[in-house]
Amino acid sequence: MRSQPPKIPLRFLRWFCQPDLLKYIEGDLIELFEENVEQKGKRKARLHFTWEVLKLFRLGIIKSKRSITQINYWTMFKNHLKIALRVFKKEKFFTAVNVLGLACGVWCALLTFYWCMDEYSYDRFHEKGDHLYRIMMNLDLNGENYTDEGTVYPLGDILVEDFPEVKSRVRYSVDEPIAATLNGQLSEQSFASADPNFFEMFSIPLLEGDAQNCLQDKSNIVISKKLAEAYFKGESPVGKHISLHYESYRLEFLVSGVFEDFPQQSSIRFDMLIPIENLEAFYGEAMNDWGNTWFVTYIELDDQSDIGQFQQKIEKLPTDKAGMEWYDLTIQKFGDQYLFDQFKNGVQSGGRIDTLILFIIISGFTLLIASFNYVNITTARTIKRDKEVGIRKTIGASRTLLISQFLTESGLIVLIAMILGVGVAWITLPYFNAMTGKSVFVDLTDVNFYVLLGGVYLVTLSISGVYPSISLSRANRLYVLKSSNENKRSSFVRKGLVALQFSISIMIIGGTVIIYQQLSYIMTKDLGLQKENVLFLELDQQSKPKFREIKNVFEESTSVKGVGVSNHDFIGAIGYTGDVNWRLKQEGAEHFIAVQSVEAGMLDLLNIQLQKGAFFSSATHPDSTQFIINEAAASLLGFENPIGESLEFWGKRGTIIGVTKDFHFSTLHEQINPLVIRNVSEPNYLFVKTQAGKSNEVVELIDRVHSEFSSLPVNMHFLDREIEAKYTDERTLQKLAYCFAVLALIICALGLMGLVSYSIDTRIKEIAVRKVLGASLINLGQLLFKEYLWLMLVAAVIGVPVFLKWSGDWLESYPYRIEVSPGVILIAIMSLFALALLIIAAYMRKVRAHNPADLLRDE
Amino acid sequence: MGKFQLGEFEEVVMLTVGVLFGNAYGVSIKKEIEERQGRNVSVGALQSALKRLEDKGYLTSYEGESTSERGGRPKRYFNITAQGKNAIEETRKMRNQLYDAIPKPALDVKIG
Repeated sequence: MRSQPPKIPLRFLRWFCQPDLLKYIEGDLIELFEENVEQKGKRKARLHFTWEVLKLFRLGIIKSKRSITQINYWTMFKNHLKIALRVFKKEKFFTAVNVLGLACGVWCALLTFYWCMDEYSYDRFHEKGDHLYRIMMNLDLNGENYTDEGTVYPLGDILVEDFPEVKSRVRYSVDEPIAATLNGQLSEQSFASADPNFFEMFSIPLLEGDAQNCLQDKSNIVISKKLAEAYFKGESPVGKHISLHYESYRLEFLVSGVFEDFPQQSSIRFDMLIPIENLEAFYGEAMNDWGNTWFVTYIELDDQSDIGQFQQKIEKLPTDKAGMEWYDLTIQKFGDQYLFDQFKNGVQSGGRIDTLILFIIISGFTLLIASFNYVNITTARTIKRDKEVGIRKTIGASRTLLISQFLTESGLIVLIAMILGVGVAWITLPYFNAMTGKSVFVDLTDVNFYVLLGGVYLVTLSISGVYPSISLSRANRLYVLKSSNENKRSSFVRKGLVALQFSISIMIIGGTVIIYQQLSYIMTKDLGLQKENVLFLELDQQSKPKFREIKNVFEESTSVKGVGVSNHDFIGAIGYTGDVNWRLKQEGAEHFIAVQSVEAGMLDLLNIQLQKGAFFSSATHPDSTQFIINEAAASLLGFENPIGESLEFWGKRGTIIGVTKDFHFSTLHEQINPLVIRNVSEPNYLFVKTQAGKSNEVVELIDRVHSEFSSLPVNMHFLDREIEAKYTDERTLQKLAYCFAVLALIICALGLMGLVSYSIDTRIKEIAVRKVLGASLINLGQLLFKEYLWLMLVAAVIGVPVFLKWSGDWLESYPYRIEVSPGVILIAIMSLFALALLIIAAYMRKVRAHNPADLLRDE
Repeated sequence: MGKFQLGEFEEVVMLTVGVLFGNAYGVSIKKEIEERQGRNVSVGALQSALKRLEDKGYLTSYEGESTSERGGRPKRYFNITAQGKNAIEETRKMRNQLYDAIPKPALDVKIG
């Protein structure tokens, strides 16, 4: 039996070899092979054969696909380009509509991409990032579940000792800005304390000092490059002393390192860092109490550990170690803390990531709408180009050639649109940054940028280019009778796309309206307190002891209406306690109550309404134990008439003397929780209510008075502005949504314009005949409008349920929210209606200008 | 002059086709060159040279009879064309001219 040459090389040869050479070459190879089998053996012969085939893979031997087209490729391409440019020139309007629409889409996609990349990069720049986690506490507060990053001080060490998978821990505590003397200058600086291995865990480069030793000594301090440059101009701050002033303490620290400023995308930020053991001096015993969750615990896990298992192991640690049954522990990946900032039963459930996904979807949709425009307009114009296609086919163009011709055209359009879109993005980036508070920029040397552009290009091209080219190059077009006009299928596809486009627009417009309504609801909601014309001053350690004197000075001023002091600022942070008792409290029940402390006059100053009883009077001694509660607390306590009942917390018993109406003492992201207001002992804030229009004078007055009592910089704020500042995220969202809605409308309008003008073009004779027979412009307009009315109804049927589902989900994250009214849906649909009407009306003007005789003359 | 450009390998192939007059096909040319010159010739190199030479018009080819040898594939025999003959002669002439132009002492190399 003859041995056969190896199959795979042979098949390869047959695939690449020029057909007219193949049989001879194959013959030669087989002859050599057979000879080799005899002389050298089968194995070697096969090897030899394969090697020879590989060496045959060279220019002269490889077949060219089709020798004629190969020579013509470039010429054909040039011809396609030329034709494309001619078509663009001839169809200026449609080209412009296509390019503008796609450019809008690309622009949108680019900005969204940059925004998302920036959001995504938060906290993900640390080298050990994959193994870093933060421990969270999870507890039920008055029936609602909360997850918070506060943990106890001893936890970090217990984790490292008891769990081998925990490689290291950093306990971290960020405090209020502190007064510091740097190089002889007094100022207030943000400051934090952490375990000495902070810089080993987190990749913040040290410009001076080394990560291992810089915080070894209790009296070391590490400062940011920003501080070093601002206060130690040119000199090295290492070895210099910095003193921190805290209440009556004055602490000396020795600078042992300078770290690079935190990138903007970092959740951890501070300008000065001291070893955390310094805090022991202030907190004493309380530092190790398992009830004081004042610290953040970050841990580094080793590669192999299973997160789910680890989480289960530590979950009940507070109960096991200290009998703290009221909270559990859970864990979150460090890199997730920015994007996933909402929790449900201790498991991350979303947060900023939802907004991110929302915008990716919206901008994807915008690009999709723009691509649909292109598909619609191009396929709608096929008839005009039937003759061209027919002639090309007669001369001998193959289907692939035609497809490649139309793809060249689409490719060119998309390319122009991309260039325009990128240009516009480039120009608008600064405005975008200003609007979103980001500092993203286009890095032209970044490979990802080009990958992104290439990706957007290909996706857009494949959505917008492929279908039209296939539809345009369809073979039977030439033989279709002119009277049947449009290919049924392509008109169906087109209508479907328009309907889809409409429904996406309904969703986007409706969504915008909802976002807009909800956010303005939040921003204008009556908080139950007066925020206008109120200034507040943060008392520092020097002015704190003298707050009464300061208060007196203000009270004498004619531009001041009232003065009050309090412990918390009424707009955000507030303390909670679980240590409350009252007569009707159920055994074993855990309740948490917010605690605010004020002096007489404070509640009046903010116009907080009294429901029952009385406020503190100035005659009341500050130490006396009288409480005022809010309605939420009243319903929690369960007394029929709480006035006169006694309440005990923090070991002190007092009498309830008044009940306020509910007012918002934190942001509207939270419900109104039960609140107890005490008489103040040590206020942190001094509130000043000004006479209307006198705020400038009061600002000056505060500045002057403060400098008399304190050498530290003054910290004063307008209450209304501070409240507004709590909703920055929302405002950004509002603006972005607004932009998207406008864009979606613009692109939709462009698409409609294209289609309407096309309908008029193809039906111009019909319209002319109708005109001659006496149809009014309104009749004609109705005729055109009817086409779109149907599509809009279909769109509404698809779009409205999706919209309702989405808006319901979105609103759910706000405890205070609006209802989705049918008006919103109506607005969304009506705005599309109006758009269509407007465009049709504009075209009717054009129709009116035509003389029917001109239109009917030929043919 | 430039009319007849032949590469070194091309020239060898041309000459071998001449030598094998009437029996010049892929394998025989390959073997002849290998035997005479003691160098390995791959089928690929040979085939592309043959194709080039044919494209230039120096060689013609015709299909031989198919036999049961070679898996039933026919042989392709090559012949030198008139133009091909001119090309070899021209190349040879040029080489001779160059050789003759070398001054005697240059070749008078003494060994040792």
